[in-house]
Amino acid sequence: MRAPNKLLAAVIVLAVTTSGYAFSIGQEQSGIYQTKHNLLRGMILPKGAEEPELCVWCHIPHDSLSGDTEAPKWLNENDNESTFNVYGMEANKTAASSAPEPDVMVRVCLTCHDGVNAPNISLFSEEAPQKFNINTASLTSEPMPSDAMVHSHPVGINYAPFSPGGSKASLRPETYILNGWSGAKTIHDLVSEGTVRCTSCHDPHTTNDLFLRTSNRGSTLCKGCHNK
Amino acid sequence: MKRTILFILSIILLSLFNTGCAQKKAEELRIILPPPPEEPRIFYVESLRGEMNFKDTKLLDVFIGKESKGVGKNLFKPYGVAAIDNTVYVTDTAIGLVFKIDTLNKKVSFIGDRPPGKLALPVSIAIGKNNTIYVSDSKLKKVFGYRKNGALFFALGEKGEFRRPSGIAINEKLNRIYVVDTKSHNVKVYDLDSAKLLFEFGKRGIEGGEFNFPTNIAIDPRNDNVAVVDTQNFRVQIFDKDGDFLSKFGRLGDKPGMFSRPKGIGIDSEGHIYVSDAAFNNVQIFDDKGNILLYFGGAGFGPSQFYLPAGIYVDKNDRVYVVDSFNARVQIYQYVSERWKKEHPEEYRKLKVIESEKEDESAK
Repeated sequence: MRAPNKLLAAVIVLAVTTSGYAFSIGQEQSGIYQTKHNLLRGMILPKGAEEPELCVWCHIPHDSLSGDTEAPKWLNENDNESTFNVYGMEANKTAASSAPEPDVMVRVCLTCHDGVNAPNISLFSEEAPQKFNINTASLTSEPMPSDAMVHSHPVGINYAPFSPGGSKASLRPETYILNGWSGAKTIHDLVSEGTVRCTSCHDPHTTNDLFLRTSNRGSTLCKGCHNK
Repeated sequence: MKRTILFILSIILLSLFNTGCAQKKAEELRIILPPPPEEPRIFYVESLRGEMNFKDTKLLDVFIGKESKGVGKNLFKPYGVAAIDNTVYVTDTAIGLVFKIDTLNKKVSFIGDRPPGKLALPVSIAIGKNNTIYVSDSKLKKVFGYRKNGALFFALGEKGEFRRPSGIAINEKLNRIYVVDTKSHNVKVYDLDSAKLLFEFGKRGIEGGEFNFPTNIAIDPRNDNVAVVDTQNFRVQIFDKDGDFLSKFGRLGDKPGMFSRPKGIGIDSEGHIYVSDAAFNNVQIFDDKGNILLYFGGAGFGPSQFYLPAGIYVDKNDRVYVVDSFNARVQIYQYVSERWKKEHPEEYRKLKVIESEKEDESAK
């Protein structure tokens, strides 16, 4: 039971990590060391402290030191073998609804992007970036204020260039070659399992402020997928 | 892992029964942790989503009913929670309001919807004297206080005072409000009458008493100690009421007693500490020494499952409110305290009845 979990975890980690990342603080030139995703950035470590790995905030390591853990005291059954399912990877199912749901690889980002640890990200639906109307006490289709941290692009949707919606959005085929993008050679690399996620546009390991896979000057980022 | 799955399955006991002469089918959701025959410690009470709770919907729809999200007066992306006198207050970071869910009068209204005191990104809630409501706003970098009717009467956060205020807690006896400033890596403590800063504690670091992006806070009602979730150091730290460091527990890992994205925290009347973890989608319960007692949850939309749990609040009657943010609801549990057992002997007896025995009982 445990081995396949680890394998699945590794596969997902690799899928998220399409570009290389720093394995230690020594690799300063690449990876997240200089980015906001290094959550030790700016901290002065005490003398002699072990240099921490910088991947651990997103890529939760399996704990292998089983010796020093104790079984929950309110359970009679002695059990030191339990491990928690990180990010709900084993339960990556959607609600009993036809609408696509942001999946595990979106929720990874949302564990921090809650308005407290990191900028808030609210996922409203694709058709209508919505706004709460206090008079009618309901969500309406009015656009959100421009300063709101609401993503104009939907996530959790399928990348389907040959569907009616896909052709309306002028989507390029997945084989389309992207030049100079961080961590991606083709559109296929952006939409793992055919799904648009945070990581389709953002590479959490790059050094630019918005973690974009390429600059959006002249809508370059948008035009990577949309032939408009 | 196998055991964890079994554990989750075994707690979801759904039973249907007929309620007397009305011949109306009612549904009872029985989630007792740990399941019988072990001593019951906590059980599921209900989930709140907003006005959907007060419409004629079947119990299960409140679980599965994703259609409430983004429609009407229902939660969208909740974070913080507090409750008093049958009213549950919930912040919603996407909608930018506090939901006031009155379960007695079955009414949903809002706080912070108009100036002065209009909210932008409300995070945490605390309740003060005379049911006053205090709310932190991480975007406006302020803490507001509202009267029961929603009128603003208190504000903290001069320019530059907070970098990102988040978790707040009130000690009524000491007349103090504790404000976690996530980006300043410290806790600021104010007098509630004068709104003056009394002192602050903590600085950035990894040693005891130091923080790396602390988020939520709770007060131990027995001794006034303060527990702070030191989120990006993957631990909980306990201080005395004046901010002197006492102890810490937890570290990065994926086993019971460890954390990866600890967020909400609450403490019951017997001093048990409840901590939600957004990466594990669960709640772990500790004693005040940091020993793991029990955990519940796991990823999912179903009962006693969570997606991105956030704030936790424990009220005076040991009801435990857990914000289940991605599922747009608040799940409510009852801690089976010694006091509760004395006050509810019959209910306590029922909690210990195993499902198979229960059928025998109803056949009598």
